[in-house]
Parts: sequence; structure tokens; C-alpha cells
Amino acid sequence: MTRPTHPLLSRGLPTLLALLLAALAGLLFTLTQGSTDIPLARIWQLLWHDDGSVEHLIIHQLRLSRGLSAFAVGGLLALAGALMQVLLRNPLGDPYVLGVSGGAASAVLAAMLLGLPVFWHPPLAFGGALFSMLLVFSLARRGNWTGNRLLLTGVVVAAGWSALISFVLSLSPPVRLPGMLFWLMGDLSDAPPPGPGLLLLLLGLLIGLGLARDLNLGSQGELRARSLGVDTRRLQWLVYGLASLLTAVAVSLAGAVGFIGLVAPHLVRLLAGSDHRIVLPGAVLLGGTLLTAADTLARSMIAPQQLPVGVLTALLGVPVFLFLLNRPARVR
Amino acid sequence: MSLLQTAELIVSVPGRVLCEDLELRIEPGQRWAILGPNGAGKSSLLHTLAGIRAAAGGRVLKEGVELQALPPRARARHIGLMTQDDELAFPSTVLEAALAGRHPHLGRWGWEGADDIALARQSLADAGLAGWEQRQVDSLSGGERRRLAIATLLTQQPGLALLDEPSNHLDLGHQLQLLDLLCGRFADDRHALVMVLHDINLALRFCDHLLLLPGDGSWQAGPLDTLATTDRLGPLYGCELFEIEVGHHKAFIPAG
Repeated sequence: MTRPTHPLLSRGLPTLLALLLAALAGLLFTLTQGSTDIPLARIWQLLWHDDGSVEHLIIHQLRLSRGLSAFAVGGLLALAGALMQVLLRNPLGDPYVLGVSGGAASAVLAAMLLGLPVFWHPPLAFGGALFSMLLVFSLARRGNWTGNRLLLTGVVVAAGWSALISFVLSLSPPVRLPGMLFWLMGDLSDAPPPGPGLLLLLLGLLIGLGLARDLNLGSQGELRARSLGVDTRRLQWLVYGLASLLTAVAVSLAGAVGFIGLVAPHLVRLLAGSDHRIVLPGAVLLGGTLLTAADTLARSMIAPQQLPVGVLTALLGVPVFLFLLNRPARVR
Repeated sequence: MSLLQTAELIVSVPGRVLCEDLELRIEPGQRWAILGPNGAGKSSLLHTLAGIRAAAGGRVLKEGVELQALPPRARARHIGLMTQDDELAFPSTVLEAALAGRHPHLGRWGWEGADDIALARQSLADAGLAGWEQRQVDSLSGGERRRLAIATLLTQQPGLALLDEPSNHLDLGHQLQLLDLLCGRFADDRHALVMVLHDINLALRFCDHLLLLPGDGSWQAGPLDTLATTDRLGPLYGCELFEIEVGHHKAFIPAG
């Protein structure tokens, strides 16, 4: 008799491996793109040896740093999206649906209107996101918890932020508008060094993986999860807090990059099933890769001018997602 | 020692007490049926017995320990609950769904081992779902999902199985087959079974104890022989019943 293999290993591991390779390819791709032409062999050499040249500076300080920032932001958003979808038991969940980005955007736009230096934008974005998260939390926690109550509270708070954002935009002098719109669509050109973002991403993923089986049960319904020994109340608040914090970090690094958080988890589910032990790392890899690729194109397509990366994530992501969603079901 | 015991248990919904001062002892080997009209609180009571719904008063004890004081996973190793319906946000395969029953047996970072997978496959086969392991759950019919829920419960291997209308969605043949299976599995000297039923005759066939729950706070509990009478069951459902005997089977049919 053959030993039965774990069902996750047959489909999940190959997918994760492929996504890991794609992530490395994406990073390599972003290193080759830019105004200075550096051949691949030279890039490889420069990655490991500092020869004091300008090219070394370009590869490390500019391209690698920005590529890793993009990867961190994409990974954070995809992870937060996957968590939100389980929390709300709704496939339309994304990191922004509960108003976290709205709080961040309102704070940053107000800062831009007042002409505060760029240096202040990340901490303000983080503060705004945190404020919005606590606001929704304190409004939704009264009474019995249901996913719908949280969703409704979050959506209404988000609508409030959205009105505030429009208000600030309409007050702003035209010269400041492009910067504001770039921020709203997501933009990595002012992103700080990637280290902290990557570290938080790793930490968030580890916590998420520790909750992965609970998340699987949680998405099967509250009663079922509880009867199988999941403390659903604790799980819900934990997931809410984690997803909101991850989103707040992502938004403070790169503005409100759309689409990744909704689509990356679903793409992984389509490829490898719904077990979160696979979905969470898969979404991180895919989200990071998507944003790295999109950001590379955003800064190189019509160089020297840059596009907001959020525009490209949607332009690339929509057709890919629709194709995968509508492809004929595999014969099982 | 009883598998589960209640002391002065009160189950209520806002504005209404469904059952008051319930004293119940579920001993190994017993098969209980909870009978009562719609809205009497059968499911609420079952959830309270499973430790996933707070009681309005009184206690539910497992071997002298209060259920609420047990860690959730330890509680789930002892008590299994098959809910009335399941909801699916994200589809999974049939095998993954059955493997969910192993969750309380695994640590936080644990993965299902070969034994767990073999057990899940065997449970699926017992519930008549052999060869369906890779099917998506959302492609199953209502009755097939019910069989999957039973397979998950068998994979969970609790000492006490609480079933909320296990015969829902099942055709007559599968009702008999699966209740036979559950009774065989959960009615030995280490296990017990409690099920909410709407069909008195299924209760007569598969159970040996009854809990009658009219929903007004009162209750009656005891051996089937003493409680399964027309003058007790008729008022419970608000209709007149005849008792008939077919072969060795007693049955109740509505009059008129």
C-alpha cells in the first residue's frame, strides 16, 4: 500500500515553487530596467561585489531598493486581502473595504494641502489608517459580532473618508493635484527603504500561518468553526487587527495601491485551492511579484516620466484575473 | 461516569426562556433524541450542550469540569457537533473538508499525517463518498453535503456526538443507512449520541432516550419507553396521534 500523500502537497507546493521562481524573475526584471543600460551578467556581478562604481549604486540604491519596496507593499496588501476575505466571509473583501486606506489618504492629503514635507507622509498615513481602524473597531464591537455588522460599519466609515478626500481635493490648488492623485492611486517613487516593510511582511505571514487552519475553518461558517475548537471571537479580532495593521503599513509606504489585495489571494485560490497554509504564502509571493512587475513598467514604460503604479496593477491584473476566472474547469 | 451532565441549565433567547433548570445526564452507550415543535429551542440547547453557546444560567459539565472552562480544542476532542446547515465562502475539496475534523487533534503548527488522511478517507467511504475526495464541496447536492458532514464528524472522533437534524436532505434509504452507521459508531461503552429529530418514528427506531422540549421552559427527559406515548407526544406537536404497530415496530401517525 502506498502512503497517502498530503492533499496540499500535490497541488500547493508546485504552485508555491512556481510563484517563488516568478518572484525572483520579477526582481531580476526590475534590476534590468532603467535609463542606464546594464547587461545581465554585469548586474549579477554587481549584486554580490561592490566595486564602487555608479552602476553598483544604481542597482542597489535605486532599482533593488525600489523593487523590494514594491514587493513588500504588494505582499502586505495581498496578505491583508486574504485575511479580510476570511474575516468578512466575503470574496469581495479587500484591504481597503473597511476604510483603513481612507483614513490614511485623508491624513496625507490634508498634509499635502498644508504643504508639509514628504518626510511626514508615511507616519501620517499610518496614523490615519490606525485611527480609522480603531474607529471602525469601537463602533462595530458593540452588540453581537457578525461579519455583516463589521462590513457595514467599515463601508460606511470608508464612504465618510471618501467624501472628506473629495472635499480636500476640491479645495486644493491645481498645482498640488497631480501629487495627490498619484498618492491616491499608489506610487512608489517616494517609498522609504524596504527593510522594515519586508520584516513586517514576514512577521505578518508567520502569524497568519499560525492561524491558517483556524482560518480554513472560519471560512466554513462560525458554528462549524466553533464546534471544531476554534475560538472564533478571538480569531476575528486577531485577524481584523492583523489585516488592518498590514494595510496601514502598506498604505504608509506607497499610498493606496488598488487591486492587488483583492486579486492576488483569489488568483492563488484558483491555482491551488483554498487552504490558507498555501493561500497565505502564495498570495504574498504573487502580490509582491505583481506589484514589482507593475512598478517596473510604471517607471520605465514612458520614461523619464513615471506612471502611478496603481493604474498598471489594474491594467495588468484585470485581464489576467478574468481569464483565469473564466477558463474552463479542469477535469478532475 | 456520565459523558455530559447539566445542572440547573437555563437556555433562553432574548425575551423568552426556552428551557429551565434542565437536569440531564448522558451516559455512555445512550442514544438521545430531542423532540419538540419549531422554535422550541432544540438547536439552541444542542449548541449549549456543545459548549459553543453561553447558557443563561446553570452549568454544563464534562466529567465534573465545566465546559466553558475547557480549552476549545480539548472540548472539541470530546464533543462533536453536526450543525443543521453549513455555509461555504470559499470552496474546498471533499477530502479537505473531512480533514477539518482532525483540527482539534493537531497542534497550532501541526499538519495532518498519513494516519489522519487514512482516517478521513475511511470516514468518507463509510458515509458513501468513496472516490469523491477531489470533488469540490460546492458541487455536492444537499444530501451529499450532509453525508460529508457525517464523514467529518466520524473523522473528528468525539466521545459525544450532537447531531442537529441529521436526516435533513437525506432520502429514506440514506437516512436509515447513515443513522445506522452513526448509532453503530457512537453507541458503545465509550460514546453517546444526542440528536435533534423531527421524525418521531426515526427517534423510535434509533434512540433509547427522549428529551421533550415544548419551548415554554418545561421539559421531560427519560427512557424512550416511558415517554413515547400518544398523550405526551400529541400535545407536544399540537396534534392528535395514533400509535400503530407494524411487525416489531411501533410507530406514530397523525390522526384525521
